Parts: sequence; C-alpha cells; structure tokens
Amino acid sequence: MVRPWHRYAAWLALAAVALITVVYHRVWMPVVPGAMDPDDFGRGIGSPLLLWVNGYLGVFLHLRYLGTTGALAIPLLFFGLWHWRHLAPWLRGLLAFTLIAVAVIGGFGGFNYGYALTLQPLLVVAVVAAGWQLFTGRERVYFLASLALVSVVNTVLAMEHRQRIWKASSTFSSPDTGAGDLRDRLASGPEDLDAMLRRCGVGPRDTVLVNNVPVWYYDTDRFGIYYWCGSDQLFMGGGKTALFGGRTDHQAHSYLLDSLHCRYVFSTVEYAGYDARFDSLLARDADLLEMDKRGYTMHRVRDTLRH
Amino acid sequence: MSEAWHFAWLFLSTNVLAGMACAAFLLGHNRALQWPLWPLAIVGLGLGPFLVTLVLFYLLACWHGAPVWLAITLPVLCLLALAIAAGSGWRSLFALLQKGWGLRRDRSLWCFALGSGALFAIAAIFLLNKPVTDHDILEYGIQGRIFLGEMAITYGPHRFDEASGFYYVGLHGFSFPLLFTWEGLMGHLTGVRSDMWVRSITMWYAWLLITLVWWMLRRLDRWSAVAGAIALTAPLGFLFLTFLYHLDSFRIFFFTAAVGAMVLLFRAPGRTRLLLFAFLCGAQAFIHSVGAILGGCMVLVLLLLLPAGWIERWRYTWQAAGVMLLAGCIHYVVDVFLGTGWILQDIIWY
Repeated sequence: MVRPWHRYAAWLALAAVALITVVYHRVWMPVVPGAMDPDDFGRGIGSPLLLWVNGYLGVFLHLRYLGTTGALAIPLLFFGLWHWRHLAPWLRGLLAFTLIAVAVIGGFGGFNYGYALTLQPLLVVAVVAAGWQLFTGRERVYFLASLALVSVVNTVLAMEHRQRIWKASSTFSSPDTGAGDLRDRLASGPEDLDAMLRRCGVGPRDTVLVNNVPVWYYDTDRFGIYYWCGSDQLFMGGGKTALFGGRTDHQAHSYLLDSLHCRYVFSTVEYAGYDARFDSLLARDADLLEMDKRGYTMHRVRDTLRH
Repeated sequence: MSEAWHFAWLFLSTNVLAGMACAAFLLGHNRALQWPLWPLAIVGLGLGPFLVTLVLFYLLACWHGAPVWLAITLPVLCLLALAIAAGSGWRSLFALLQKGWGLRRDRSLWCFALGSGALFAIAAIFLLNKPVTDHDILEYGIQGRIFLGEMAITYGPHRFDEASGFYYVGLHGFSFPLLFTWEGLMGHLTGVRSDMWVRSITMWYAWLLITLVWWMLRRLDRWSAVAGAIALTAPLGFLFLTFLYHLDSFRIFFFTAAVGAMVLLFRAPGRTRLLLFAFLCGAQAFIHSVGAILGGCMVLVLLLLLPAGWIERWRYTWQAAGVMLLAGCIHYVVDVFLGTGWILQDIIWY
C-alpha cells in the first residue's frame, strides 16, 4: 500500500544520493595517494571511510565506476526488511539473496568494479520498478527521468575526477586521458615483442624470467619462467617457490643464473616496482637492454663472477 | 579466408544460429516454463556460445587427445539436436521476431536501436584497434590455447604447461578459456589464427545484458525501460565492462538471468522452471568462481524460503544442485578433490 510519505521519502533519497555523489567525487575521493598505500589508493580503499564506501559497500557506493541507482537500493532494502512479514514469498527470496550477495561481494572484493557490477542490473531493475510502483502520472516520469539524470551527472563527475588524477600524476595512464593516436591509447601490450627480442639478442632457447606479463606466452612460442615479484613467487612444475625468500640478494642472483639458468628478465617498469628487492636486483645485477614506450623492459642478468 | 570472414562465420554460427536454436528450444517448452517471451528468447540467444563450451569441456575432460573433427562436430550435433527438439518453438521465435519488427514505430525503441548502433560501432573500433593485452584475458586465452594444443583438460595440483613454462593462476571455471579453444578449432576450418571472435564476446554479452534488462523493465512501461537502460549503461564501470575484453559481461548476463529465473520459480514453483533456473545458475558458476559461490547462495535461499513444504524444498534443492553440477559446477568439485584445491588453496590477490 503506497502512502504519500513513501513518495516524499523516495524524492528525499534521490536528493540525498545526488548530494552524496558530489561529496564523494569532490571531497572523499583523493587525487594523489599522499600517505595512503599506493595499491589501496588505486583500488579506492586508502582510508577507513573509503574502505567502507568503495569496499564493503562497493556494490552500492563505488560511484567512480558504478551508477547512483544502486545507492538508492539501500533504503529500498531497509524498507523491505522492515516490511518482511508482509512481503510476497518471491520478494522475501529476492531480498534475502540480495543481502547475502552484497555480503559475499563486499567481503571478497567490492573494490573490484567488475565484482561490484554483478548486482547492478538487478538493483537497477528493482529501483526502477519500485519508482514505477510508487508514482503515477507525470510525477512518475519526473522521478524516473531524474533517476537517469543523476546517474549521468555522476558519470560526468567520475570523468572529471579521473582528469584531476591524471593532471596530478604523470604516471596515470588510461585510454581516456592518454596521449597518442587511438590504437596507441587502446593497446597496452608491448609494441613489437618479436622485434624487441631480436634487438636484445634473446635466442629462441634462452630462458627468460617473465614477471607477471602473460603476453609473453600469448605472443611468442618461447619458454619463460613465470614469476610475480609482488608476492615473490616462481610458478614451476612442482608448485610455487620463492626467488628471494630465505636467500640474500647475492644468493637470489646466483639462483636465478645457476639454478634457473635465466639470463634475461622480461617485465614492466610498473610491475618491477611492486617489490624493492626485485627492483634493486634489476638495477644492480642486470643491464637494461631495452624499454619500449609502454614501459615493457628486457634486462640481461649480469654474470655472478662480477661480485 | 580473411580474419573478417572468419569472425563473421563464427559470429553467425555460434552467436546467431546456435543462440537461435537454444531460444527456439526454450520457447518450445514455454507451455511448462510460463516465462515472459522476450526475456526467454534473449536468455536462449545467450546460451549458444555457452553450450558450445560446456560440450567441449565434457569432451576434452573425458577423452584426452580427442580428435579435432570430433571437437568441432560434437557441439554442432548437440545444437542440431536442440534445434530439432525445439519443434513449435521455431514458430514462436519467428512470430516473436515479427512482433519485434512490428514495434519499429515505437519511439522508445528508437532509443534502444540508437544505443545498440553506438555500442556496435564502438565495438568495431575496439575490435580493429585493441589486441588482447590485459592480464586476466591473456591468462584465459593462453589456457584456452593449451587446451587446444593438447586437446585435453586434465586436473592436477598445478596447472603448469611444460612446453612454455606457463602456470595458470586462474581459479575459475573453464567456460571462458574454452571460447578461445573453440575459436582455435574453427581456425582449423577457416585456416585463420585469430582471437577477434572471443574479443567480441565481451561486447556481445554486454549488449545481451542491456537487452535483457530493457525487456524486463519494458513489462512495466516502455519509458521505464529507457530510464533504466540509461541508469544501467551511463556509469564508467559499465563502459569498461562493455568494451574492455574480460569475462564480466558473460558472467553477469547469466547471473542476472539466473536471478530472474529464481524470482519466477518463487512465483510459481515447478519442475521445468527449476531445471532452467538450475542450468542458468550452473552456467554463471562455470564462468566464474563468484558465480559458483552466489549460485550456492541462491540454492540456499531456495531451500530456506521457497513457498513449499520442507520435503518438497529438499527435493527441489537436490535437483537444482544436480543440474548445477552438470551445467559446469562439477569443475569446482573435481578441482577441489583432484586439482588445485580451487579457493581452498593459498590465493594470490592481484
């Protein structure tokens, strides 16, 4: 049974979400990491407030990637819980599942916009259907049009926020803010991997350490030892093992050359920066042979005899 | 054959013809299902490429070193069987398409047509200019090509490829990697090595998702569908979901369909509705681990809240679980007991 105050509450909720959108993009979302962990800054969860807004409640409030309609589902869910006893069985089932799904996605990684988007179609349908039920005549048109309009305004603010990050950070790279022609902006892989290998003199039988750049396996038929410096894990036939863990830097260098027979390292500048020891091994014990303009690097590991 | 023809052939055969066979099959069973027609047809259209991967999964998991000709023929035969079993569903499908054409004067549908045109135009720009370079899709692509090379899906504690040194760190079902396998198999026929069709899957399922939401809301009122579609597609995240190659649109399409099927099952419980619900649940699970967990949650909700007696609910739950397993969830069971341990292993978050 729709009562007049339900309609006022719906307008109030929409106005509140519009206000939160502005506060979110202009006040809460930082432009530079500052004291935040760079990874958490990138994920949008660099402070306790942001951890809740973009993380645990990311399904509703991760507004830099999601629309505002999902945020309007919050009062709708509370309304549903309040009237649980009077709900039809299908609405109870849907409400219960939505709450469980919000908890699962928020717990596993609401900051990942792909995960957070999982419920968006469902929430959009629920909010639009609720708006349609609440209003009649012209007011229904105004409400649904306002719903769409606030979502568009949110996107404009999100794009403006990206522009501000780009202006504040020289390393921020994205197709909508990057330089170069369209193909350059859309492609983030190595410019020409085969040519790079030829120029660097990497033979077909040379063993290369591949630092979390799977394009190596996709674009070439060469063997590579898969590694991720961010977690110091070598992915081998017998499982995962460490390159640095339990070894000094010198021992890690020797292990790379003498046990793994690895003379080259293929990485990116960005990925190498995830671990200080790996980064310094490249700087101290390897020579940079080439870096393409997208940041892909090929190093040759120096002989251990130089130590 | 050029890459463009190879793409057109795959799109026509796997997305359109296989999708239409599934849609006709579902429409043919709508007397028992009692689903709204348009959403049912859209779900059917989406099932085409998924079914191909499911058949490939069973073939390659059960017969290591299966011949290429069989891997191409078996999915085609299965879809042909569905097409024949569809019977009167074909008439319903063509009647529906005719009805859709009759709506061309509806101005709200012009918005849909305009949006779809823009999506396909941008999709073409991406397909022609953006290769596969992002981390996750590369992992899926390499794994799919390893399946193609070995013509086998095996389970073990480590998914390591001796020949290349590649180690698959993905946790999810093999539906998406198997799309690469299918494109590779088709490459044997066309003589083209390409990944353009798999790249287009992201956009195709994003469009199907928008279409599904559109027809769900259009049942209320045609302009609600316009408002809902704008609210859904305006955010940056949806833009990325649509155009950056990934499995998310594939997964979310089946997830949304499964939730819709759950609602319809709650409104009028019945065996046929249960089968379709469970199959869609299994489909979204076979694509991604999050889908497997959420699928389990949906079945739990069924057990606790379905408007039926306890014995009936238990019976529904077991049947749903069985169909979900067959629709792809079995991958996770095997992976836990004979493989990598799925999410019970030490997971690295990137």
